[in-house]
Amino acid sequence: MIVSFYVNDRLVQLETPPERRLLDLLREDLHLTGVKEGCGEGECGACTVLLNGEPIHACLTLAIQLEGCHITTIEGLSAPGELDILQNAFAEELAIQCGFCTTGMILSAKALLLKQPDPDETMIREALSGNICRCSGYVQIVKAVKRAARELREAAV
Amino acid sequence: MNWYTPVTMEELAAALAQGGESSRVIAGGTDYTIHLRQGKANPGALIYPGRIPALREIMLTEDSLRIGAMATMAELSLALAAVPEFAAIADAAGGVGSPQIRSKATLVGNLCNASPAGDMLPIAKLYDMVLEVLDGNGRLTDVSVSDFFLGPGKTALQPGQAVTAVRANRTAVTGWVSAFHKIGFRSYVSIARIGMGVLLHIDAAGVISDARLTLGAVANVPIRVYAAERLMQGKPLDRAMLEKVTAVVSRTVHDNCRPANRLYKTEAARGLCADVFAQLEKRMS
Amino acid sequence: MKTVGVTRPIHDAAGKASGNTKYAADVMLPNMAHVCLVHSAIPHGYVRAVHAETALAVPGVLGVFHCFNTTQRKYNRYRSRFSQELPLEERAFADYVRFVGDRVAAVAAVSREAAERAARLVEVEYEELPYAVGFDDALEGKNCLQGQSPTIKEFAAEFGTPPEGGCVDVESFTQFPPIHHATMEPHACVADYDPYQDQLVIYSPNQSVHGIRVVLADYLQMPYHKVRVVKATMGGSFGAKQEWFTEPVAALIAKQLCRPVKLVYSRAEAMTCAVVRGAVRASVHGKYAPNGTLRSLDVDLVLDAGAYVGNACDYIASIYGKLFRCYRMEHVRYRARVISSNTPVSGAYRGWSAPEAALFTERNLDAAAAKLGMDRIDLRLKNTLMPEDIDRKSSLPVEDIRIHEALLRGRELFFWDRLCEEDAVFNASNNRYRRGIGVACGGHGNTYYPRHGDFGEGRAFLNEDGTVQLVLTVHDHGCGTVTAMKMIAAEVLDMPDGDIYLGEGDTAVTPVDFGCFASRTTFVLGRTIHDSALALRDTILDRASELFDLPRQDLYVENAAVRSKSEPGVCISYREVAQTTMLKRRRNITAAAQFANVTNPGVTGAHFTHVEVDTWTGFTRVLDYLAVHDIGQPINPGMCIAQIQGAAQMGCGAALREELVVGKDGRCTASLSKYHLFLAPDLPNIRVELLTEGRSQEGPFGAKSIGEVSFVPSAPAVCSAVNDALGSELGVLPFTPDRILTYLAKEKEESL
Repeated sequence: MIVSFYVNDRLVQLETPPERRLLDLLREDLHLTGVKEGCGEGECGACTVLLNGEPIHACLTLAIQLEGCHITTIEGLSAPGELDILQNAFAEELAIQCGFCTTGMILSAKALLLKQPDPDETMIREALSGNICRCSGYVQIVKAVKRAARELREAAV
Repeated sequence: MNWYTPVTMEELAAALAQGGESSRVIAGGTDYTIHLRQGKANPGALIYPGRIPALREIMLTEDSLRIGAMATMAELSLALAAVPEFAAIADAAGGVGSPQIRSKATLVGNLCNASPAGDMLPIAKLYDMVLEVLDGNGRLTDVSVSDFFLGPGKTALQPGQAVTAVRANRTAVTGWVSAFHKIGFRSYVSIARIGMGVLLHIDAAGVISDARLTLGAVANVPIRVYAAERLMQGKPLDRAMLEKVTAVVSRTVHDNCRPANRLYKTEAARGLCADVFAQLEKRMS
Repeated sequence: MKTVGVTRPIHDAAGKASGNTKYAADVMLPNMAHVCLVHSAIPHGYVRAVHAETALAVPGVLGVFHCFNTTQRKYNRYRSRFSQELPLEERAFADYVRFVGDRVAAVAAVSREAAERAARLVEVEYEELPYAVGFDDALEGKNCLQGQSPTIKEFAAEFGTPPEGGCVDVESFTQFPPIHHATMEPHACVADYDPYQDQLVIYSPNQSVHGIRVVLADYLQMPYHKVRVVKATMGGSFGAKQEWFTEPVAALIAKQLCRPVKLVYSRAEAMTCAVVRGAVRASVHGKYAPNGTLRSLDVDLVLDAGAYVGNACDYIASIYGKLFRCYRMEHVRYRARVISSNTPVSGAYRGWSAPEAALFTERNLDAAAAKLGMDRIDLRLKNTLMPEDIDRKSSLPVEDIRIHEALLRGRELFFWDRLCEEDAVFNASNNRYRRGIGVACGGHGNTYYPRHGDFGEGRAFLNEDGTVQLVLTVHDHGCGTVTAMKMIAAEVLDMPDGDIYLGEGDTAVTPVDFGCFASRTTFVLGRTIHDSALALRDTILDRASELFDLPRQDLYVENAAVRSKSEPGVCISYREVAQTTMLKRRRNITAAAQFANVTNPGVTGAHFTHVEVDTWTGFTRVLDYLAVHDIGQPINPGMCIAQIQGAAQMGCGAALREELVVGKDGRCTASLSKYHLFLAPDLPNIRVELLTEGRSQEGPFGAKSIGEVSFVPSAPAVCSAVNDALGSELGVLPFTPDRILTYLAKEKEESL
């Protein structure tokens, strides 16, 4: 099938079997390798991207489901060579070790902050419950999201 | 592989007619994609009705609740959390998988997969939901939930049919309170090991005048625990009553679940009852 | 100090935050083939035929490889240095399969999808053999490996003399299941082969580029310089990426096809076909003086190696050594057996034998405290190693060990005594939830010395602009090794660490090294780069003295410049020294150093946990967690803390949830939906306290290791808290809701 959808606000048109995964379209066809495959079964969250602002698993999303959708990947958050407030908070708060969960984690946090600019710790932890990190114990990740929320609120004033 | 992305109900009916025996309708696709990938499913055609606007709707009127096949768990939990008689649906939808799963998975998809552990099965049973089934001729038929589940992964749905919505009678439960809770393998993002939904009507004197109680993930299909319901009728919601209900629920779990899990599930049913009823009490105050 | 001791993010944090950093699975090369494996569907047997015709007919398929069309040579997955004498036990594709998941064949195709589709079409004919799937099967004498007894190896050792009478006897039993490393990045590898230069290049996340070179070169019969192994960005290892199974397969196929190939494991493969921490059971008999002094520890241990022996024989010996890393041992009698079974292969796991030692030792200490009516911390305080003690197994000084202090500090920071009282009140007034606190200690090393000789080599170059390049064989696991090494050099050279470059292990560029494991990286390689930087500094001062005619003894470095004590006006930048040396002396400024350590100081930690057990559902919630670590000088304290918090999470998982279950059919848990890792909402804010006064003599600036030791006390501390909450003596891990409710049901029955 030919599917047209938006990736990071740019319209893409791809010829693909309908059962091909969004994960493979992004990684293999569009070379957006910031989205990672950690389990391929919707358990680890490393492949999280945003679909119309909501976090989804790219590994559980098929081409047939994509027509007209808006997909945001990690590459869509900032210009090349730059980091947005959230990405920067992850980097500076030591929320990144091996980094394999990072991009999905950031996008889950992004989805939270789009809806809830001032989340408390419980909200943050629940919003990240679909993203497994094996390196950290999540402490710095929660800190980074708090910091980003604060900086985003300050920037909005 | 053939594929259909209908944008109207008529197109969906046509797709069902053309798709053939081995066609498969997907909603959120959060379960089916895994089967596809493991080579366990090999459909002749895929039908995705996500672009039919009507299917995304959650319609709450005075006398009914109608949930479109493409309404997601996230949307449901948001829409129904503040409606006491349907809060159990919000509880269950809000506890399905992770945020990522909830932004795609749908209640109807969960019912059609008919996994015994599906969180929405005891919910459908709790509200005696009616499934609206569309066929290739464009005909809509109502199927009662009690006729729908036939066993693990098995439903009354025939090839060439699709569930487009489910309905619950609101009039029957107006003024009731409800809650759902489950025990999984961890507190978040877990398949249910037991799920339990309760609907209660409590009169002005604080006496339970009517009650419904269902269990999921215990037997192959969701079960309604009539014995527990009878026990509650005419009693106040107090500790003595709760203990009796717990005993009945535990026994029901014991008698219905597989031997390997029997000890655990029978014991854990106690905690589950306590949690569900604590939630109900909170909702009543 | 300006740089060491100041927190920095990992060197590639920005790249990882942006998604720009490339992992092995992200690599695309022209003409690259994708490899998909076919695994044994049976636990034990012979492959009698492989039917590949249907698979070969799939468009895009380049080849199907199996035991009948590839080399019969074998290798050992655990080998990482030339001098190890290990049996060669593994073929790229087995003709004799030993477990469900053993590699039987591989399909290479132009696309991943074609390879996957074709792999499903490969038909394998087996001749099945009887099999063993666990301790009981194997110990009953079911012989799982052809031609071998079920007991692969026995090891016995005794230290000291048994105490004479007057002791309290304490028996305990501990068993832990196989567990999964759960690196978020599954194993991946890219191999490329140039037939015209007979040059093989391997690109993989791994802990030892030279280890892979030794194995591949010998296996493929190539000279070492023809095998280049490059360490890729690693999405976590924890020991999972220090044994070799993807690299030999990818290399073999790349060589056969003369084109680049990529092999990426699925999660199911990473869980079942890679490496697991092997199951261990231990019966322990402790003897204690009435005051709590541990007089004797008698251990009888069995390790299930799984289907290939791998590291297991070394591993049981290593557990014995780890017993001496935390407590004063007067007498130890240790007997251990390695058994084999038709289950996933055991191998390295964070802590390498120390977590096992801690689990059964700490359980026995807790049982002793209960029997003697002592507080668990008090009992441990009676037994800890103290500064100036020696490791009685290795005879090396433990140096300035601070485990005693860690216990005292933790008791205070955790409000241990107050929690004891509060929990008692809580438990007395609550019939559903029970709270408890736990403590455990653990010790580890900083190098494999003196079991093997250890050394490192580093080089340093001063660039024309005054920046510095380092060469050292490091493998960053994701915990900031590269950053730490740069910080050490920056401190020595008194320059910004941002002006220093360090790449990672690459056998074509970096000197021979056995790998980043055994917690040796900061201690040995950190000291190596320290000495290399020192040599570079000396060279800079020598050249400055000569070229600018300044007395050498007056010169020192400050802010990336040479200064003189006698002439405050002198300030010659590194850049000027470099350029002047090149122009006037026609020389580069470079330096090299090798370092061979002769110490291995004690490195320890004590963990404290507070849990609440729901006795109605069996769920355990971790309410609070504190880790106190005796770390010496932390190089990058923030990253040390982050690593310790990760270890705490891992320990909570090992104690409460994680278990790879091998069914009667030999099939192992193969999905994260059935392997319940800890998620963000499950955990409290894990607190960490670093004790930095106990400096090592040889480590850079007095640093000691942290990566592995941080995991050692974690699971035992959580177990200790659960047992405290329930008044139980549970020893079979993990303490799942099922095990807890089963225990409580039995208790109830017995009390009736």
